[in-house]
Amino acid sequence: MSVDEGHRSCRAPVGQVHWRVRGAKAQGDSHRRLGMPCQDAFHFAEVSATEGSAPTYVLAVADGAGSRRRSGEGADHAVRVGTQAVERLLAAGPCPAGAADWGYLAGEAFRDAHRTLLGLFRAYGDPADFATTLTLAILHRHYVAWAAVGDCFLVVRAKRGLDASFALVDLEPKSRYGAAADETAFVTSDRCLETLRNYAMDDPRVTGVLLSTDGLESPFVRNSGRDPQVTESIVRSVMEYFDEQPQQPDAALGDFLYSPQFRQYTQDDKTIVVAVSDDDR
Amino acid sequence: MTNIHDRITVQPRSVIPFPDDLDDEDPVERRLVLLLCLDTSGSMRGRSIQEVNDKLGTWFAELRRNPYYARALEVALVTFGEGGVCAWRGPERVAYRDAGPGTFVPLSEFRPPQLRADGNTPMGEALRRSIDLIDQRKKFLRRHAEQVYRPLLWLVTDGAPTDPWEPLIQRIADAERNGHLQLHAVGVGAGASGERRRVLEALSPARNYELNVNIEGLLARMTDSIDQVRGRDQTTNWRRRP
Repeated sequence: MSVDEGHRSCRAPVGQVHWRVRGAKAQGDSHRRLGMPCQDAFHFAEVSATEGSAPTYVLAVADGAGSRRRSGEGADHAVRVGTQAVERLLAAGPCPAGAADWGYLAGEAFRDAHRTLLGLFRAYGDPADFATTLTLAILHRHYVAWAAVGDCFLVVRAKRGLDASFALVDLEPKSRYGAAADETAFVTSDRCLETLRNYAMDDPRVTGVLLSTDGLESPFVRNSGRDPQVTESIVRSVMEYFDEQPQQPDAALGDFLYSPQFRQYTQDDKTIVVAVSDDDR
Repeated sequence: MTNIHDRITVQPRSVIPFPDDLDDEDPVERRLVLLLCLDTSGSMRGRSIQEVNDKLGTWFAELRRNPYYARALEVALVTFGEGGVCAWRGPERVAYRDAGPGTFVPLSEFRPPQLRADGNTPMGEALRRSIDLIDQRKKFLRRHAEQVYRPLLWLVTDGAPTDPWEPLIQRIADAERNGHLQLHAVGVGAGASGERRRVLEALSPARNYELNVNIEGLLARMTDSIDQVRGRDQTTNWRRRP
């Protein structure tokens, strides 16, 4: 079993929100059978808006298009370029002051990353060969901002324990029987920026954020009629595990993705990045 | 940027619990409809048809292990070649006049037939019949207030059609555009003729494949298509904040 594992945590200054972030990805069974590599990617980093300011965390996931030759490389580049774009913008200007500003920054970072990626892919060949989705999430104090193209999804948790509630805050719009039902948008698509979704929320109750590629949509999102909902039990299980066992490494998440239960739900590549806050909200 | 990859504290690993009640939260609200339209013409004789028989059984058994698919997926089979165009309700051949919405069988009950290969390749008629069956099943489910994902039609052939097929191009294009079905057209076997390729491209410009690989590769792609149509064919309204 190979698990591409993520990472680490670090201690923020007293009084600032500290997030512990874990990530992992797992090759889907169907990809394994076809001899295809895992074409998902994730990355995350802690960045600082300015010297001495509260830490900012950037999470990124990308899902390379299964039908494209070099989409795994595209996804790898996308998560890193996206994270760097956020860092660059934060370094270049004042720290955003409100949710609207954070949402704007997320969108600008995505546009910046899109330009960089297209230039990079053109240098290597046909950008369409690198087709990939990309979602960036930014955590800063009680702000959660995101920018996304394609079918990754984002879940947040408010409060903890028995009081916890979960919300699916970003999911690619999909038509029930429409022509676009099986078409997702990619960073390399001509109309990429027309489908960009960038938003932010300001909620001091947020204690957890989960970002994932569509390979996990089946177990994590229920299609209840016209209003898709989070499958609370599974998100709760993941977040509470890292609440209670803060030192557990990403490998635990990798084991989870490779568990037989998941493999029953989907044969696609699976990627997840989870952040839980340390403070007692 | 502080890269925090370097500071890993490794502890003995425990396991993230997978909720036991996950399926209870995911009731079958929408049906998945799958129709396999398989070539059983004379050119499939011998090892090819035997491999289809063997591997189809294994594939369906594997799909049944997925609790969601076991409940939500409905399967029907149409073959063209041996016996002309035939519909199958599980292992039973269904008379042409009797084939209708009831030809589809829940995956949990579906057992594939033992197919034989003979005759020519009436692909056009088989596709027309397949699309009719899908339409009938969708209407039946709708009448019973069931929601349906976009039905999947997989056409698998090792040759070119021996009957008229061109009139289906527009019908399939319209059905795809309106979300009534999703056609995957697959050519298998080393005898890939230019004619077969031209036909498959015309029938399914976005999803035609030449698979000179073993049948497992084909079945894996079919599983992917089920995952994808379920994952992507969803609704537009969801809660978003702020």
